[in-house]
Amino acid sequence: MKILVCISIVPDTTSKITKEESDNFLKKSDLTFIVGPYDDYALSRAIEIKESTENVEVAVLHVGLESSEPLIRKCLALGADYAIRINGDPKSSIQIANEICHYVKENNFDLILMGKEAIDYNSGMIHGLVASGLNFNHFSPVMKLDIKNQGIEVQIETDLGKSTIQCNLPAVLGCQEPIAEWKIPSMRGIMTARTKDLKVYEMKNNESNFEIINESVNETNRKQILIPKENLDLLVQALKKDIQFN
Amino acid sequence: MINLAVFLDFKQNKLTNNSKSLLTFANSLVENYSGIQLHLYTVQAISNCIIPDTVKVESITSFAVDNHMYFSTNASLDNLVNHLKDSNITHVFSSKSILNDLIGAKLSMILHYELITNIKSLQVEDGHFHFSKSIFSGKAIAKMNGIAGPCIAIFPKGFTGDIIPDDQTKTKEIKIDQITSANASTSIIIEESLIQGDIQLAEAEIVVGAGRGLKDPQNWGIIEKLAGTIKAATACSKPVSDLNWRPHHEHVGQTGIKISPKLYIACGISGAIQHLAGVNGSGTIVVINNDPEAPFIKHADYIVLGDLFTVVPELTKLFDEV
Repeated sequence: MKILVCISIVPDTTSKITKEESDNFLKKSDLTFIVGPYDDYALSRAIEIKESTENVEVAVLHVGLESSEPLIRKCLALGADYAIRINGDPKSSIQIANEICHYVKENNFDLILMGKEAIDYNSGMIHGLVASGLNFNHFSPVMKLDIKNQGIEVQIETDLGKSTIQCNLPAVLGCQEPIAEWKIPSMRGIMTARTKDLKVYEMKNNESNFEIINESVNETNRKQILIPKENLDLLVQALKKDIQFN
Repeated sequence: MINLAVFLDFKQNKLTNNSKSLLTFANSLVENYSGIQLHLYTVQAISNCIIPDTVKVESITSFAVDNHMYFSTNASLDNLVNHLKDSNITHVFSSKSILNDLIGAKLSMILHYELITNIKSLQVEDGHFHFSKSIFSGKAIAKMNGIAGPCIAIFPKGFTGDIIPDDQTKTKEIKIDQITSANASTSIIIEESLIQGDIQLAEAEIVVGAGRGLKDPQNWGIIEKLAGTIKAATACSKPVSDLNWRPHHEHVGQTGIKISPKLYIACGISGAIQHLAGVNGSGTIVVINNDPEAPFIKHADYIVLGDLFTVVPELTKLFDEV
């Protein structure tokens, strides 16, 4: 079985987002980047499956620039067999999805995993777009994943609750916790990752009709009113002014 | 002529608040810009459809299956895709939900329409749609180039576009046109468990959240009592769900659920940046904490510094008296 894990490379969750006044875009140079936390869950589960099942191969794919390679190597250190970087600077979810579809059409995978969303642009759409582009089964957000009877059994969250579903392969899944525990690379993993294959291809299409032309920091100014704990009635009065309590 | 389809969500045959706001916003576009024609769709099974009288639409197209699984393949959307094409629909609006996200992504790929989510604002000029969207989990805003071509736009829960609705007490019932949806999926549901209780976290207008400050899962009674009194959903921080003190589906934050209620009351939550990322879309934030250094305090509208074990029951009592 061939599993492809698609990863996003995003600013660390604790990053403070800033912008130089003269620029149109947020300042990216000071930020620390990480593999998307949801993608990390997906990768961890793929590696668990590989470790507990025979004949499973795990590849990692990222669409982005060369600066992402140390983080791609980290995924190899965690236990992925090889990696693919599709070189370019994509501007939209559709563009990234199309690149993934191109690669999968030429290289056949049974299962494509990724996080339910990337925490930078938060669209949460790429898995759905990829599934549709490839005409694969699709579920998201997936909280449990097991390989069963040539297919998979997944537990998904729905708007109404949770469902456990049996589904045939191939499939594309958007993952979220608690699908697996995050892993930390071992020393041996880090050493072997250096010699693992990291193939680089160029993006097939650099054009996007729909893209961001300006970014700004969102300043929500909160009221910051201190209510003495002896006068909680003031809080209740203030809230009742703004909010309809039934 | 732009044919704009708004996908509406219903709960027990009633239009949800999110859909009502979105419909009001879409209707304001129709009123303010000439050349937009409104169409209504739903992917839910409904037996009647009542909308504000001000909306100039006389029917809704129902493509009705209530289960997430049925939309897990492209083929399951065939009849809907054909209907949208036959009606020359070029723009699709829906409110964020797991189901609408799934359908939006598939329609975008199948129809080759642009796709945008987390919308913060929309202006229409000369047939161009100018969107801005929230990025970096609400920490920043991105402005998109104006697009003239077809697009699918998914609006966050609670989106109003700053439109103050006209009097909506006058309503009308509109005709439902059914289109059949075949279940083209080979997947099988093995087990289903529905969220219990009336108030679902993601939909809730008021949320009471609690964190490690509660000290023990046995202590959640006071939180549930406050939530019950003000008809709120309950939420928790990540450490609390990691410790299995509360169910995972209550976890609000960067890697959990993101909420945007009108009121969020955070009890005993320090306000790690990952938690803030899940709640910064809230209208009003109240923080109850005994630690004046808690990071959450800088992100609150109202702050009560005190022991939550006395503050929360007292607050419940005051709300109860109202």
